[in-house]
Amino acid sequence: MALLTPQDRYLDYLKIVADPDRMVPLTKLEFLNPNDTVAYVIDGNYKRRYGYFDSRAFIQDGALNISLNNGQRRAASVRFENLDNAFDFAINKLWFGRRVRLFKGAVLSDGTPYYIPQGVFYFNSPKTGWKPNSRTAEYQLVDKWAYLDGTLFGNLENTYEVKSRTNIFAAMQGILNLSIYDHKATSDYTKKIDGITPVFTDYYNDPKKVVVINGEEVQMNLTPKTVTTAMGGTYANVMLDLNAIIAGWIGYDSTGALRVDASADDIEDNKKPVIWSFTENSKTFFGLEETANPAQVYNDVIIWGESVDGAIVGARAVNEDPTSDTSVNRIGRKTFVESSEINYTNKQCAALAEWYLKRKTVLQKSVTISCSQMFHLRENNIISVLRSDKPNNPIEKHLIQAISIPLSQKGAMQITATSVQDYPTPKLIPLDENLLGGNS
Amino acid sequence: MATYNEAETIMRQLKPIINKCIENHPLVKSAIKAQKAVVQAAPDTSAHTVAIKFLPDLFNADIAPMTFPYNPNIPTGDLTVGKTVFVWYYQSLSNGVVMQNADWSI
Repeated sequence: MALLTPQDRYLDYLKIVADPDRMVPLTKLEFLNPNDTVAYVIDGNYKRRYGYFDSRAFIQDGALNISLNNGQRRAASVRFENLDNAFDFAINKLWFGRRVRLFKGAVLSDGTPYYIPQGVFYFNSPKTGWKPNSRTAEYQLVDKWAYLDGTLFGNLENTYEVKSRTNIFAAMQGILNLSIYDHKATSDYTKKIDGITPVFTDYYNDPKKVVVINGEEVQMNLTPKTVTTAMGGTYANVMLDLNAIIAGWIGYDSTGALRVDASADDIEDNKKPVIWSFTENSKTFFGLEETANPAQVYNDVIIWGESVDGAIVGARAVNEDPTSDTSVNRIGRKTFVESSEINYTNKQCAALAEWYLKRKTVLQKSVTISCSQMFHLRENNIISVLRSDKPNNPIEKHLIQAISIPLSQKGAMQITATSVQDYPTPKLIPLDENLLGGNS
Repeated sequence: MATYNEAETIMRQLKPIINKCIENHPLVKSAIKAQKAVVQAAPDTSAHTVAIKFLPDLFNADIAPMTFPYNPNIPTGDLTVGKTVFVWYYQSLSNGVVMQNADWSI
């Protein structure tokens, strides 16, 4: 039966990946023109003939790694069987600025391929190999952040200034709109650092979300002060400084668009939908390893900052939740202190402290799940595992931190996730009560 | 066995990460850095700010002068147009303060 609607096809894909015995994993690399249209495609098919425009190359091996960071999130390595030298790192072949879109997918029950995008990348660290019986080209693929952080592009030739009261998202968009040829704003899509329209959170666009600075109400999507980045820094430094003002998540998503998400929404991970449930009896679940890392656990986070009028601001979040295994009452007060000039109000320090506490107090229980390949999982989403090895068979929820998928047809996928069950209810202590008044 | 080329590749990949770690080291992060600049306009004495351009920015006419607060104890003669001054900052240039005269000769 032909699967016609996108919903039918997606449901069929879910059925297929749930039964890895039936699944034929697919990998596809689309080589993009400067305007992001597809120039040509290669995949795992080695049966191409000579004389065709897309050469006899095919994807032999590789891996895709995704991790939840502010900045570089996606990286992959890929090895081509490069029989006709079409994939050497040379001008008119693969050269600076060439983008590729990576897809993973599976063959559906009607025999058609179904692909899910995994990211848009640039080529880095080319390596070619020649043996008597093979000729290969191996590349590290880095996501488009590499064009901001100086890896492939992005060093500042001059001091970069974002004036006070500038819209943060407009400033971010402004960086992407700069021409790679003269570092000036351009409307030419093919010259821009990144022509894809970024996806920004609208959380801070609410006119009611304001901070009070020197008695003046300033909307949270505006820069509270001038952000200056020294020359020799990178566009990524500017992006991260702007992102730090809203304490957001910034990075490139699987479709190749820059995405900024609010961390304020992020506090309630428990309420996110579960995108995959693993059980002991399902064929997708190969095993799970729990890693304990007590050295990196903190249950007391103090964030210091500096307001625009020079006053000290700060906040402290403490895990005193009696249901948490790492609360202050159980293991003592393990304090983490960070000071940064970019935090400018108590409220913002509190948001950051709460966010840090959430991460730092759960790190001791990160799990690595080994499973069959599936391609719709994304970082910062929830998976659940039915722990039939524990009394009462609890269902444990985990927030995906990192994913590693092999690009070849065989091989297991690894998911690193942290437990969300353990997120405590942070107790926020205002700066003046505790840090200055000594009342703990 | 890893070859020299592989070691080179790994080193190249690790370099930005190591630089980031060094930058984020508490000692380096809290260190005060200084950058030379040239005064572009007479200081605004009510707002205690002065418009300056950093040295390499002088060669780029598209870069507008940037306004920074100045040290109240700096002699007024050091803030005249064309004088070279030091901007001190920690963590980020966003914290910069025009601190002192940079016309030193040793």
